[in-house]
Amino acid sequence: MGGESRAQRSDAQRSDGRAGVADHVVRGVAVIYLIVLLSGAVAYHGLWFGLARTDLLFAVYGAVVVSYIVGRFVLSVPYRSPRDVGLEPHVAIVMPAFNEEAAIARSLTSLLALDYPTDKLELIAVDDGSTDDTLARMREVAAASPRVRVIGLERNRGKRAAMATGMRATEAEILAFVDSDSSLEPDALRRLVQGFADPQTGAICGHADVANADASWVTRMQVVRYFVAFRVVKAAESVFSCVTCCSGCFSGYRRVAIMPHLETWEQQVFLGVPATFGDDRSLTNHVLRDWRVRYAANAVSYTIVPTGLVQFLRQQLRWKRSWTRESLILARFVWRKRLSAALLAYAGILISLVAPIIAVRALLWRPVVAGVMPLAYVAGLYAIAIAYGLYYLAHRRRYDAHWIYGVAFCFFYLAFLLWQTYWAILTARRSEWGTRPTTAGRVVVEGEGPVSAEAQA
Amino acid sequence: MTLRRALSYAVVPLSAVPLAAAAAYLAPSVEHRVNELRARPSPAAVPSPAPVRERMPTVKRTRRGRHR
Repeated sequence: MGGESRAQRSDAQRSDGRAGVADHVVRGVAVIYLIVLLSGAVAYHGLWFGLARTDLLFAVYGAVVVSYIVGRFVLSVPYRSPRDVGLEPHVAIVMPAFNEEAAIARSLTSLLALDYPTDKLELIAVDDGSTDDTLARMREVAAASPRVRVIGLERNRGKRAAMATGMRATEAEILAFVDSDSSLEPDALRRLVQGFADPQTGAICGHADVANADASWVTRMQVVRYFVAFRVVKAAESVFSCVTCCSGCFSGYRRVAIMPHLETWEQQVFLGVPATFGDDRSLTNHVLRDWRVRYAANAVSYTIVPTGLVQFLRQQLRWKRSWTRESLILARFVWRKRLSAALLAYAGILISLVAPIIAVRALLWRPVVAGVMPLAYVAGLYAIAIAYGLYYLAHRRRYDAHWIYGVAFCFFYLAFLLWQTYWAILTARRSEWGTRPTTAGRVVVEGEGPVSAEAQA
Repeated sequence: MTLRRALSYAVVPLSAVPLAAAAAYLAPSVEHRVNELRARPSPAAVPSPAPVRERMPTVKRTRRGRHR
C-alpha cells in the first residue's frame, strides 16, 4: 500500500501491531467473558421459554430475540473467508464520485497500488457531474497513470447512473465497485475475487473499516458499528451464502449476474418516486434471487464515515429508508432460499419493526402504568452492548479502547436511531440524499431552481 | 506499561460489575416470578368448564344428595 493510503489506515488497524502479554491476557478475558455473557443470556431466556405454556408470547419473543442476537455471534465463529485458489479473473473496478475532490485522488491511488495483474484490471472513474474539482483530480491521477479511465457525466445523474455508465464501458467478467471515499488494502481485490471460484456465487461483499476512526466521538462509535455490521452480521449471513447487502464501500459482482437487471435497477421506482439511494442493497437483491452472495472478511477496505452528529443521523435515516424499501422486496423472495437464511432475514426485519414498541413498553408504559422500573431491559441492553464490544476486542491483536465507544453506541442507538425506523417508513418516498447537495432524483426546471421529483409525480 | 494503559485494560473486567449488580438485584424477583408461573397450572391441565346445560343436572343431583 502506498504511503498516502497507509496514512489513511484506521487507528483501530494501526493498533494491530505487536501484542504484549497484557494484550493476550485481555483478549483471553474478553473471550471467556463473552462466552459467559452469551451463555447467561441463553440460560436466562431458556428459563422463560421453559414456562412457555403459561406465558407463550413473552417466551416466544424472548426466544426469537436471543436466538437472533446470540445466533449471529455463534454463526460468525465458524465463518471463514473464501479460500485462495489463485483465481485471477478479468476485473473492472468502477468508482463513481460526486463532489469528492478531497478524497478521490487518494482513493484512486489506492486502486493503482493493488496487487493484481495489470492486464486483467481496468480502473474506471466516473464523475457524476460534480460541481467541484473532482473531475480535475481524476484527470490528474489518469495523467500520471494511463491505467485509469475517466468518464465525466455532463450533469449530475445520480450514483446509479454513474455506476451503470461504468458497467457499460467495460466487458470485464467481474465488476467491482469502490466508493469514492474508500481505499483498499493492496491484496483486497485478489482476496475478494477468490469466492467467485464457486460458479453459483454472483456477488461478494468486501470488509470495510473506518478510515477516520479518531476524527470525533461519532466516528469512534462507528468503528465498532462497522466491525459488527461486517464481521458479525455479514459473516453470519455468508454462512448461508445469503448476504443481504453488498456494501457500496467495496463489493464485486459477476457480470452475468447483474447485467440482465441493469436497466431495472437503474430505473427503480418506489411508491412512484425514482430510487436515488440504497443502490448497493438494491443491486444485491437483484443478484440474491438467483445466486449465492457471500462476504470476504479478508478483503479489506477503509472508508471515511460522517464526523458530525447531524450528518451521521441523516446518513442513518437514508440507510433505513433504503432498508425499508429493499426489505419489502427481500421478504417476497428470501423464503425460496435456504430456510435458515430466510429465518435469519425475517427475524431481522421483525425485530427491527418490533424493537421500538418493546422499548416504549419497557421504558415508558410499564414504569408509568405498572410501576415496574426497566432495570431488566437496561441490563439486557448493556449486556448486548458489552457483547459487541468484547467481540471487537477479541478480534484485535492489541488492546483497542474503541470497544468502549461500541458499548456507548448501543445506548446512542436506543436514544436516537431506534426511532428512525418508523420515521423512515413514513417518509420512505423521500429521495433526498441527505448528506450532500445533489440534483439527482430531482427535476430541475429552468429558471425555477430544483424541484423535487416527488412534487412532480 | 503506563498507569493509564493499565487502567484502560482494567475496564474490561470492571464492565462486568454493573451486570453482576443488576443480576443480584433482579434474581429474587425473577425467582419469585418463575415460581409463580410454575405453580400456575398449565391451560392443558385445567379442565374446561362444561357447557351450562350439562352442568345444571350435576348441581341439582348434588343438592338432592344433601337433602337426602
